[in-house]
Amino acid sequence: MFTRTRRYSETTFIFLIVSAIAALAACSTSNLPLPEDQLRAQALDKSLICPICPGETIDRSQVQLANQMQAIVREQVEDGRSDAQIRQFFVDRYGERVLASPPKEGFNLVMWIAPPVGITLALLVLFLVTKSMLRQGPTPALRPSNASSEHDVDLEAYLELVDKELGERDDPPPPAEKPDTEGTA
Amino acid sequence: MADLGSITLLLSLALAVYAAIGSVVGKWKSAPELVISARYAAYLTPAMLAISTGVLVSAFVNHNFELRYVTGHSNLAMDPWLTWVAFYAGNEGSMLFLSLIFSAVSALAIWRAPDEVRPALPYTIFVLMSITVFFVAVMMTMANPFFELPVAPADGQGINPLLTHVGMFFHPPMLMAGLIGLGIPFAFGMGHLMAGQTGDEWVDTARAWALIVWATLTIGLLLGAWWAYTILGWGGYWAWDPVENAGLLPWLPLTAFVHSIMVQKRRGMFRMWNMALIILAWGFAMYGMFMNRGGPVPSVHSFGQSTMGWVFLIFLGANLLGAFALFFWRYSSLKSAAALESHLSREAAFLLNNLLFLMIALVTLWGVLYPLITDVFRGVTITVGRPYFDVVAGPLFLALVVLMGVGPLLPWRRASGQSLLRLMRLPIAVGLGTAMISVLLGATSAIPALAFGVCGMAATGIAREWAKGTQVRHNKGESYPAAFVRLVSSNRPRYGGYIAHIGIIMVAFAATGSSFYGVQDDFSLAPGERAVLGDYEMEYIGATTQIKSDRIEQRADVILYKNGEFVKQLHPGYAFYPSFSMAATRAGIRQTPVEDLYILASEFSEDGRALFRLHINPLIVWLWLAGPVMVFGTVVSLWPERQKAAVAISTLRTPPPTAPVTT
Repeated sequence: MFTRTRRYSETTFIFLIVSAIAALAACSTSNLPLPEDQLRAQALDKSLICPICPGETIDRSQVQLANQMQAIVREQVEDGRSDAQIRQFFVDRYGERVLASPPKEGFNLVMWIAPPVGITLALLVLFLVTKSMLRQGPTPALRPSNASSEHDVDLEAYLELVDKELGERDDPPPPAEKPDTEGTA
Repeated sequence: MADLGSITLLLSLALAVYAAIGSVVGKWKSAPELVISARYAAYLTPAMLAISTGVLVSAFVNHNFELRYVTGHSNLAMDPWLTWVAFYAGNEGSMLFLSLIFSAVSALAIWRAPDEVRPALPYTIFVLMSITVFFVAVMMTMANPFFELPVAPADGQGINPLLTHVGMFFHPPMLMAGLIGLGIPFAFGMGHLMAGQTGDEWVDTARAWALIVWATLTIGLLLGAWWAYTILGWGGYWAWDPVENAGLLPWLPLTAFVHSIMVQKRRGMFRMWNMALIILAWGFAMYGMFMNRGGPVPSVHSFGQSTMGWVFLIFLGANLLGAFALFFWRYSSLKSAAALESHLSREAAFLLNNLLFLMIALVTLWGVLYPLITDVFRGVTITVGRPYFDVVAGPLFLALVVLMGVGPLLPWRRASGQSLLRLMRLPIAVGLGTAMISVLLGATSAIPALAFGVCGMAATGIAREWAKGTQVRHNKGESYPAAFVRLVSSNRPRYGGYIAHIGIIMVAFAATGSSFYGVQDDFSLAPGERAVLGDYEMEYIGATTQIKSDRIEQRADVILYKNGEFVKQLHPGYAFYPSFSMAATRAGIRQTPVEDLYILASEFSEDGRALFRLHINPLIVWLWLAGPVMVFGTVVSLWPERQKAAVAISTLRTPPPTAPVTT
């Protein structure tokens, strides 16, 4: 556990957390040597929707058609056809809806481009709006949070010590009363 | 008996209408007796609905097949304990469930309303009871659970087999309660807008209810994932299915709300924003119910297909219109009591958090609606599935986890860049360390290494906050456990939030491991043969077939070895339900903290040969463990505080400011 110096306890913490998370992460990342073809087929399974089931990909669906489609995928992978060719094979038979997500081309580009564009715009707007808010000058202090259920007599002194230990505080002491709540007629 | 159910339904409708109208009229005409009687009517509404519920339950238990609903969702062979599930298996029952839950929680919210929300309470009651009126009225006109068949059949049709699973005991009711429960904080917000109470009066109450709803919805979603994992036979737990998305969508603005409401609580800021968020969250909740009641998009969840969905859509539209009309009517008085002082402050971090949650909601909605767009404009049916959502929402979720590591370290008002860097040094070091070690030990691509690193960083940020506070208290002479407990109870909203954050990190951790490192393989085995996947070896002993009254069960006997040593005997298989022509898989799962070995068995043939699919799903167990952690965090966050101590303790209310870590 911790000892007196904080530096030491910190090092302990780094060590504990890194090793715990990394150990779990590492155990889970051991790679299994599956044949290349099989991994390709599995990836293809995940990109094709079973046409008769509600929105399930063929690697997840339990119906027979999905199993047959998986078999076709494996056959075609073995025959050396490309991913695009195999997907096209199914699109020709079942239509575009057989793809788990539309290809990034043509009209469907709209779908793929809208989110990043929207997110960028939203971030920009947020930045500009907050920037204009910044100019509005200083503000009332924080409200007291209804913070604790403790009422030790020692607590005040003790909290001062906490503050001292933590270094100087950014906030002024809280106001004695709750600040105005205007507009509450 | 069924008549009693119909009568109490009618009574509850009358009471709810009276409560809604009475409380507003009483307020307008300054007639307190009317307001009080309206409140009593609001208390009586759930009592009437409880009687209807009791009638329906007893109809199930007594196999009263005169009722169309009982015939459609049960049969003589059904275990009585499945009544709980059968009750909400269809539209009629789930509408009754929704009405009962909502009116009961409304009554509780009205009864427990603290003094500061009393002035607006008549309006809040109006909103609450109007929602109740809608649900009861739709149920009575479109899905009456007490509809009687002219001739009672000898036996019912039985229950949907996919529902006969422990997960189904809690997933639908939790999710339904979470969706409808969002109406409570929404009603408080709208009530205060109507009353012109545009300050912070509603904040504490709305926050408390929002947190309860948040925990309910979170557990509902996780239980759904668990159900999908064990019974749908995917080997997965989340598919970005349209109805899953419908459950996730309200969760996102609600999560944003429980964050940003803290800013209003502490700083009097974001008043408009919080109103807008709760309106959006309620809108998404109604959208969720619309999708569940027969939405336009095919889904594994299409249990209760009906035209009722469209009524919900109209209700959704009316609610949004009304709510935003109110919002703009009161717009000018919803000014913040404070302004943002710096981009490097906790307020700003909360804003960014809100933006990210909303963005995830919007890109998800975009993915759900896009097929409708192509259908209209190109006349082509397409699917938008996992590849889109993973690519688009994944990075946003990751950004949220990063923010979770940084935000709590920022003080209110403003921080200096240098002090933030100093505080972030340790979390960043741990994050980098985690990423590097996961690469060294076998992470094959940058994205999962990055994600693990981010999890490490966020976890360190929280752990350090705890360690520092505990250490300071320990130095004062408290034992470590006492110091830790007192630290947490000194600012429950904050430290409870951190506990919930730990839960979210666990979810992120599990999602990263399982989506990037899952392995699967298929085997066709005859009895006695073995299959190998990684360190695991599975021996297929044989299959058993059992014919039960409602289903044919086929189960394989398999023995699992790891590194050559016996681990466990498992029984993967499936059950076929002829009356539904539907199969329900039961996976064989061996769970460890590191990975699950997940076995599916299907296509048993005459000679005993069967198809097996083996998955190794890393880190899944952390997803299930995250649920209790998040609920615990919510409980800590909500635990009532003794008011008297509040002022004395307020010195601790701020986050540890920009302190030098080393001396």
